[in-house]
Order: sequence, then structure tokens, then C-alpha cells
Amino acid sequence: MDKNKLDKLRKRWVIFLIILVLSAYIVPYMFLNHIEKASGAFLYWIIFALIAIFTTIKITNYWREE
Amino acid sequence: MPNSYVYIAIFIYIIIGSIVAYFARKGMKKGLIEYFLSGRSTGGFVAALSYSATTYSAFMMVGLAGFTYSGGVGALGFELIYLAGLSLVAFFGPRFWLVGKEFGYVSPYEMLGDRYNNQWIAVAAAVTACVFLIPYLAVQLMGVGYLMTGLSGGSIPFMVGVIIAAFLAIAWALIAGMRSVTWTDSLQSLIMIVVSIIILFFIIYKHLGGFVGLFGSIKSDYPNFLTVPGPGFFNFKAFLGLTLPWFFFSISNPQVSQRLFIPRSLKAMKTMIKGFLTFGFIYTIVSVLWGFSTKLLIPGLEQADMATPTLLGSEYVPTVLGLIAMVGITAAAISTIDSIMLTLSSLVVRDLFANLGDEENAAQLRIGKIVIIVIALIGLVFASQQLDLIATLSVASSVGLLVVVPSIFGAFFWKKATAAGSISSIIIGSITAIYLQFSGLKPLGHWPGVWTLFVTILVFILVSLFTEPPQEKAEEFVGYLDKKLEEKNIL
Repeated sequence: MDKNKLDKLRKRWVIFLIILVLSAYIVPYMFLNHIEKASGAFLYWIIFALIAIFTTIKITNYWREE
Repeated sequence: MPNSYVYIAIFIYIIIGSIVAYFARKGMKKGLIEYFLSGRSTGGFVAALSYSATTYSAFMMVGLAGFTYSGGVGALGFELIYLAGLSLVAFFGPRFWLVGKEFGYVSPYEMLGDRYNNQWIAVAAAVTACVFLIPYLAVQLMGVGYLMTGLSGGSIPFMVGVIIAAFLAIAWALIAGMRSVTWTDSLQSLIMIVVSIIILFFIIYKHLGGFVGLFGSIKSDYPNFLTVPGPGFFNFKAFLGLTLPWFFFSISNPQVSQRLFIPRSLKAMKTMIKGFLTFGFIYTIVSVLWGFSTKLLIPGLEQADMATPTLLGSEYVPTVLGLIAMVGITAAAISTIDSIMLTLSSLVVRDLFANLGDEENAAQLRIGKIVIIVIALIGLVFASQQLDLIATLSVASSVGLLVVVPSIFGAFFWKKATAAGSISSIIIGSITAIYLQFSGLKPLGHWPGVWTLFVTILVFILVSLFTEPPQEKAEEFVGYLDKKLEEKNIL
């Protein structure tokens, strides 16, 4: 892949991950702090972690050996 | 529980682990790279299990379950933000791996010293790692001591568990270095995860009416445990103070970042990443649900850290499962201890006394083995004293190790970063971490991790702006990486 395309992809995924991680602070503390159910913060953090995991795997899937 | 049961369980574990370590020795080649990095030829599956066993210590089933017991669902958020921090490995992993192979690095701090063209950076970082990680190791040893004492109803002395743990960690690290560590780690990670899942299912289905029953009871008995700040422990500043250092754990802690040098190929690293993310996700949820279950079954404990030991010793857990759990937690502790010992030993010989080696590095290797024993003995002495100082330093470890993070980012992404910036940020950052941790000060209500990271970044950038970067080395290092990243599609 040429450098420009790689840079663009890199930027896109880094920004996505930053927003995702910020959401793990903002959403449970600002929007879910009154929902006393498992479908509140508990569920949100599980979904957050799954997205983080799949994003990480997606990034490694670009790699090639040579 | 009778002492003999505890001893028999530990004995079986020692035998199986030692057989694995012995087989790891077969086929081991000579040399320093082989000893400390398993010849940079570890397969993806073993690398994944070993990474998991090293990064997840006895903290999970004891400390995290305790956090859940006292603070509710915030504990889940805390640990999953740490897990999301492992996404850093998708960027730093292949970079560490590429330069490690090209420039022959054994320790991550050796890489910093070379990249900034100043050996003192490696020295400063290695000293910082020893100051924070030896107490951390001692606390893991103490954990095994408390566990065995607790399960035997006090009749097995504290030091017996500590000595058994130290002895095993030394043996499994010495038998074949990183090779025996990764192999025994793999065994231990499987024990950790299988044991924790079995016990969780047993407790939830036998005593709490399944998962629906568990969440139903939490919702009716402790509704605020499903929110943050919830019962109060996880107020926002505490949550930020706890999560920030842990988010960077994968690059700040040398015993895990060194593992980025060991996969045999990019494909193996990919498997490693997939493996530890899956392991971490499951293990986190299990540990948190364990904490919730204890809250429902045994409410009213004064010390949250006692939640797991109390549950295991209670009538809710049959003796056999309690014993298996003890082995699982011991495995989690020992797999972390031996990895830390091996890594610190490599830091001492490669970074603190870098000029010892002859061509074959045989002298470094000999000294490295002695250093492993010395570190274990220091840990043992610390553990036997049960000092508050040790506990404080151990808690501070994730904060203290943050001080290398800006230097690591700079090494890969900022050609204008300088040696002066790196070394001053490491020293001033460490002083900040220690001062805040011991004084208990929280300026503006923020925890030591937040301030340490802030101060370290600030010093790193400011000093770098006013000093001269090692241009030639920066070009060589970053230039080589740029070429390879493009070739291999690495983001």
C-alpha cells in the first residue's frame, strides 16, 4: 500500500479509537448514570470492549508478511 | 480445609508445571537472545497465552473481584478500558518487533537508549522499573502466602506460600529462560481461565439461580451497583486516575512490552493479539461476575480484598473447587512473577551494566541468571516484612511505569524528540509519581496517574523543543520503519 493511503487509514482508525475510548468515560458517567439495570453501563462497556477488540483485529488484518 | 489437601494440590501443580518447563528446555539453543527472547521465534498460540498469563496477575480474581464487591460495575469499565488499551499493540507491536529484529534489541529500554543515542535513558528507565516492579512482585508473592494461609484456616504459615511461589518462579525462569516461562505461562493461563469459569458457573447455577437470577438479585438488592459512580468508590476522578495508567500498560510495563519482541513472524503476532484480546475479555467478565456473586452470597465484608478468599473458604464452594481455585490464583501470580524476574534481569544486564558482555554475550547471560535469583530474594525479603511501603510502591507501579510512555511514543512518531527530553521526563516523572503516591496528595482532586502522565508529557515536549535531537539515529530508526511499514501494510 502506498504511503498516503496508509497514512489516511492510520489517521482514520486512530481517530475512531480515540472517540471510542472517550465514549467509555462519557457515556456511562453522563448518560447511563441513572439506569440501574444490566442493560445500562454493564452492557455499554461490554459493547465498547467488543468494538475495541474487533477494531484492533481489523487493523492487524491489513498486515502482510512481505 | 486440611493442610494435606492444600499441599497435595500444590504438589500436583508443581509436578505438571516442572514437566512442562523441562520439555521447554529440550531444543533450546545457546545465547542471550535465545534465553531472554526465546530466539524471537515464539509461535502465535504460545505467545498469546503467555502474554495473557503475564499481564493478568492474581489481581484479577482477588483485586478486581474486590473492586466489584465494593464499587460495582465501574470495576468492569476500569478493566475493559485497560483491555481497549491493548489496541496500542496493533500500532506498537509490529514497530517494536521490526526494530527489535533489525537492531538486535533485547530490552525495550535498550531500544530507547539506542534510538535517542544515550545509554543513560536505558539506565534511568531500568532503575525506575526495578523500583516499581520488585515491590509489585513482592505483593504477588504475598498474595500466594495469604491465600494458602486463608484456605488452611491459618495453619499453613504465611511464609510457606511465599517461599513456594518464589522457588517456583526462580526454577521456571532459570530452566530455559523465556522458553520455560512462556511454556509454563501457557499452561498456567489455561488453568486460570478454565478454573475461574468452572467456579463461576458452579456458584451462579447452584446458588444464584443462573445469570438471570444473578442480575435480577443485583438489580433488586444493590441497584446502584449497576451504575457509576454507584456506591461511590468509582467517582469520575477515581475512575480516570485508575484507568489512565492501565490504558498504557501494554507499552509502559517492560515485562509485557518485551513480549512484542518474541513472536516468530507478523502472523504469529496477529495470533498473539487475537488470543490475548479474547482471553482478556472472558477473564475480565468472569472476575467481575465473581465479585457480584460474592456480594450477593456474603455481603457485609469489611475488606473488599477478602471477598474472593472468603468465598472460596465458605460453604458455597466445595473443597475440591476451592483447591482448584487456589491453584488458579497461584498460577496467575507465579506466571506474572517469573516474567517480571526474567525481564528485570534482562534490563539489569542490558541496560544497567551494558558494558559487561563479550562477543557471545556469555558473561551477560551468566550474570543475568544470578540477577534472577537476587531479584527473587529481594522480593522474598520484601514480602516477609509485609511493609506498607511495599504495598504503596506496588500500587504506584502502574503509575510509575507511565514515565516511559512519552519517550516510547516519541521514539516512533517524533523525530525531533531528544535524549534530554526523554531522560528529564523519566526522572521528573518518577519523582512526581513517588511524591504524590507517598504524600497522598491529589491536586485538584486528580489521582497521581493523571498528574504523572501530564508532567511527564510536558517535560518531554518542552525539553525536546529546546535541545538537539539525535538526527542521524532518528533518520536511521524512523526511516527504516517507514520503509518496512509501507512494505507490510502496517498502520
